[in-house]
Amino acid sequence: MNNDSEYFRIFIDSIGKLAKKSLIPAIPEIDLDPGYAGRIDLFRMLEDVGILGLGSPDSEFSYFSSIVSVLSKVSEYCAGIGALAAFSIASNLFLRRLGISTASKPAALCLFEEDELDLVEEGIPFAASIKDGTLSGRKRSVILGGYGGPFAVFADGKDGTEVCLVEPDGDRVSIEETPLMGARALRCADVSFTGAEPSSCAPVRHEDVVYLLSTLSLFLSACACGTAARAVDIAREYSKERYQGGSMIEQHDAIKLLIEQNRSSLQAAADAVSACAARFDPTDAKMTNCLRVKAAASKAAVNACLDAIQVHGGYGYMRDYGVEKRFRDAATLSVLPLDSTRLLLLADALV
Amino acid sequence: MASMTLNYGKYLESNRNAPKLLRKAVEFRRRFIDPVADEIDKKMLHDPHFHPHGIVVRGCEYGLLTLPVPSFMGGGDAKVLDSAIVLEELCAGCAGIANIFGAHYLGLSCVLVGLALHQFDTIVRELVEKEKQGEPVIFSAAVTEPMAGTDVEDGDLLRTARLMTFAKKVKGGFVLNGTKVFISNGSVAQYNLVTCATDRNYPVQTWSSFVVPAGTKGFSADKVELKMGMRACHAAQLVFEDCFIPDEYEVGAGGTSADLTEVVLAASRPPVGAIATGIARGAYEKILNFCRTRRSGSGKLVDRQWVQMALADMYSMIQLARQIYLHAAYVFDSQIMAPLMGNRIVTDTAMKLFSPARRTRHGLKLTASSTFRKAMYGFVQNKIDAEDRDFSLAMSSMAKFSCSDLAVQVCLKALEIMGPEGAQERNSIEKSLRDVKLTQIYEGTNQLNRYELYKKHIKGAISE
Repeated sequence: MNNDSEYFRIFIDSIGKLAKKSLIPAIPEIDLDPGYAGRIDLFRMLEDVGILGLGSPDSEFSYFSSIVSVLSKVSEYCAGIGALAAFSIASNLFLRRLGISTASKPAALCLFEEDELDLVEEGIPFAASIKDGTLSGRKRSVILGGYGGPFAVFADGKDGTEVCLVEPDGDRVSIEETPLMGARALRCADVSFTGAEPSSCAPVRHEDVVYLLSTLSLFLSACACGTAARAVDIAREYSKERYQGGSMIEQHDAIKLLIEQNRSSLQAAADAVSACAARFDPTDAKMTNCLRVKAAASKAAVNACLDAIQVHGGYGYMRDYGVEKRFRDAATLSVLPLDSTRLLLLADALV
Repeated sequence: MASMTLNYGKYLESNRNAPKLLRKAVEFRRRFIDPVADEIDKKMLHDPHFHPHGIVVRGCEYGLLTLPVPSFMGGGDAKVLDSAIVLEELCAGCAGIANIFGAHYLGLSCVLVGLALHQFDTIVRELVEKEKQGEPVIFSAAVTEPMAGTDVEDGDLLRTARLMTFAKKVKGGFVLNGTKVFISNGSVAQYNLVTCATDRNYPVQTWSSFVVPAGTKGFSADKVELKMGMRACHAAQLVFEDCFIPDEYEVGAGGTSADLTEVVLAASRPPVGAIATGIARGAYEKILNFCRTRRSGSGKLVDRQWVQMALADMYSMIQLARQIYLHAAYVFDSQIMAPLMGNRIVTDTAMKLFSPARRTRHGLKLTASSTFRKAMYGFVQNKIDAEDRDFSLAMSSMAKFSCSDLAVQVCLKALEIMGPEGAQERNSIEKSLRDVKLTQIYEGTNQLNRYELYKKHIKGAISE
């Protein structure tokens, strides 16, 4: 089933209805409190409607172009929830690629250590290691995506890099949460493993790491474009209501350009995301397009949200109006899974 | 490490006061801002009504509240350039805390720049005396209205502004009705400098300023906004409901505040540029520390060429911003304030000499009188050359928008270098980014400030 089907349109519409009913009322709570318990319900809701299963063989929508359309739509309402879904979908795809099966969806991908660039360069071993069947080490900036599932941990094993599944319960796994500035439906943490026992492991090649970063980059680009496009629309609506200098501000060239220049760059970024998704080839070891698209989408989204605040003036800076949240969300997504500079350096290394 | 703190170049060479004030600011930041900045920011996300009063009390020991008050009144005698340098330093620690002082200076400057002698001898005197006792007297400036932000910052735009706050002349004073929004310090200030029209049909001709003390009947400031950044400094909604203000609390000559506002903005925008520069410098300092300590590959993060290039970009943008605001502040100090203050030895002696007489009942009555205030307005107008005023406002507006735009770019670069760590609260780069956005908005949006540069400076060159 593809994006042009009637069924897909109905699916997208249902996301909108669901968002209005369940998502939008919860957004202020999620944003204010990273420990907000209602997030679990939201996560289950995403699971129930099939968003988290996107891309899997049993999903109606297995094409990447469907995934990015859905993530963009969800992120129009809440980029954090969109990103939560993005991490979950990418984790599932990644584990499936490695041939690791889990009873429940992985709750976190534990990749980074001291410098994230290490991960993208071949040959630098992880400090986290598996010895005598137990895992020890510390992972930084771990996105705690789902709930109740195992943690997928990158570590240095006997024959090179491996990914192991570790249940996060027990005193051998300690989680120190470190809240994000935006997209706060995502919980972020440093996770320490001291002699944790993995349930299963699989070797990871460099191209697998690239695959993971590429899918995450592509999906998060869709989230960034979705939330920023909505921010610009909100700014446009506001410009019709706000009077200044003898007319509505929509009449002012400065405002028109703030809106249209951002629409232009966002349109280009969104088209690039769609094109990249449509051409995505999991057998391609390079996948540099996803990384480049992420850099372009991040820049367009952050600038658009900054300007959406600017159109609102003082009101845009207040939390009541929601555009500042979109800026925080876009800025956060701009450095997840990695910032544009590191992604572009990886892209260059892959060429 | 190349110190950015003391690298101010020629602007400090001929200024004996600034290095002393800067040293004070450095010490104050190190002792009282740096240790608590992040904690206060987090606390105020959940409790926007919390106010870091203790830090302001500590500021009294350093004379921070009386910094721009002339020495003949017992203040720090800081020029705009000096205040800007101090604010940059404080903002490198925490822009929210620094903004408490910055917004206070803005309120105070309405009195100081307008040479409102009655207020000198009453509320400014109270500020100076209480500061010595460690009791802060905080000022605010209330200009923005719910339907008019940019419009109330420019004399031409004021004509068509949708105003909601008006003062009506009654016997013995004025009655204020309306609402002001996003007023920094509004909920904690003892004295609010409120500007509004007295005739809705002639807002420019009747634009006036009033001192509204906290606790005045009919005045409330209960709503504190939950902001994206600069949380430590309250942004409050001020509500006036039949709020009576006696005549002596009118600042300047009635209906002349549109002119006064332009001079005040010429004075206040370079410090906003300094605030933006300070936030950028804070981000730069944090990222330097991050790069020094973080490993990358077989070396340190700072060994990466792309990081070195990014740091160089950040450094150059901060220096550029600094030079722009210093220049604007220098223009204001030399072309506006210097002629206004005249020969400082003569002025200081005269002000001190007549101070006891001014503070008598008759003296205060005289300086509060409409005739005297009009005479002072005439004096101020006479001393300030219109071209100099326009040039100063143009340079100040340029400093405001250039510094804030550069500062946003610096903070985005810092976020980029830190990568995923940058978006986490623990590294406080995200705080710099949240804080710095406000500098593109307040004190006139950057769009208005570009318009001011065109109107006050570039337009003249086109018509020549």
